[in-house]
Amino acid sequence: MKLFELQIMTPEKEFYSGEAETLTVTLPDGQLTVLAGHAPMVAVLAMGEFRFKMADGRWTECVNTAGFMEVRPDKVVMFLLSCEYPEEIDAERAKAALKRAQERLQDSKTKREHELARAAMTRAMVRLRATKSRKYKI
Amino acid sequence: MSEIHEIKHRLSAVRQTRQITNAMYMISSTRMKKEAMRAEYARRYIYQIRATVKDIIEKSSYISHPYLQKKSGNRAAFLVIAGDKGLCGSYNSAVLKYAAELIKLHDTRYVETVGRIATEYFARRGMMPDAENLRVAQNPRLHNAREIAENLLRLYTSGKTDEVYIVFTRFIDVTQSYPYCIRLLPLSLDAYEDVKLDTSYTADMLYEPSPREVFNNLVPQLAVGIVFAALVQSTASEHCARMNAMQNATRNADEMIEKLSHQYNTQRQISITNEIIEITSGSMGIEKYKNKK
Repeated sequence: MKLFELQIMTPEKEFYSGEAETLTVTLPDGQLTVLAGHAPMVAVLAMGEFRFKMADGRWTECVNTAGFMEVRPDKVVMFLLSCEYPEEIDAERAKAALKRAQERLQDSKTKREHELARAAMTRAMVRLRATKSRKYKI
Repeated sequence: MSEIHEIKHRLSAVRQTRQITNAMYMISSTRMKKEAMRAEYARRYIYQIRATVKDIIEKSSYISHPYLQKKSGNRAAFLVIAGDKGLCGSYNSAVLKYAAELIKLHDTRYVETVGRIATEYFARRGMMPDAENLRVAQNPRLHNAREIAENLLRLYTSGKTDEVYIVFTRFIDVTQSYPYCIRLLPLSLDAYEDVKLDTSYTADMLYEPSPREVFNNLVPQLAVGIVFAALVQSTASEHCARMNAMQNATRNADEMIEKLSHQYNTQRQISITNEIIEITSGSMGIEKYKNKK
């Protein structure tokens, strides 16, 4: 299958740079799969999981917070605020973070506090989910 | 006799100073090595994200969005990044002078600073910064950048400012860094003249879910990314400047110690010679006295 160049960057590190065959990302309203030669597109990525198939046929699964990506005919560039592998996530810490976020959500008084707590809770839930489900074994 | 004491006193003072400058040199050189790697990546990140955004803007010329529209006013918000501490050569003064000149060009301005030195600089010139961030410059973290970026975007979306600029020190390598300014908002091509595109395809863009949503989400992330990268680059430049300044200071101290020890030895020799002269002339006097008897 035709390959395309995939570059994943966060402000802190270059997460991945290389060739890929398939890329499946989570958008706010569902999943989207990109193959080589996709029409040019800019997409907002939701907090969630994404996976890509490398040139050797192996799948890589990752968890991301907010981001966006530009799809060009020959290249996909993803800019994420943070990105990690599920096996790097400490489930206990994620659980604790979820509990903290839930408490903060209940205690929140202003709209902004509420929003921040909601975002923290979503982040914790996404990370926790990633530690449990492993559909594509690497 | 008093002169020799003075020299001895100065010598020990210079030695102590040398110890301090040398320690600071060692600290900043190790920090610098770490920060230089982060800065190297930050430079690439700024370049990549701006190239991508430029590409997106070029293909979105028919889309109207508050972030893309130039406003007619001359109000500007500035984020000025300098250090918390001095003793780093011209690092602080270079970036602050550069920022002050840019700020002067605007009628109404909002200034947010990073670093104590920056706050003091503007306060001295009668422009009290509207917001300050202390203890960020030493070790910038992503959440620092997020707070700063959110604040800047709020100013823009609430209509309090027409443009948003970031002034920081760009880190090229250990010997090279210079003040630099990036216009964050509004997004328009004239702010991206320094970025070369690595693609040249022409096609209509798809926006997922919608152009409006895309820019609503893209801009805050661009802001966080650029603020963070600017902070990292500034920190690396600061450590680098401090390393060079402290290396020079240590070298100067070494020269001074050499000069002073030379002076001290000369003085000591003179005083010993004088004493010997006194003793011998004294003993000669006594002998003369004895011979007379």
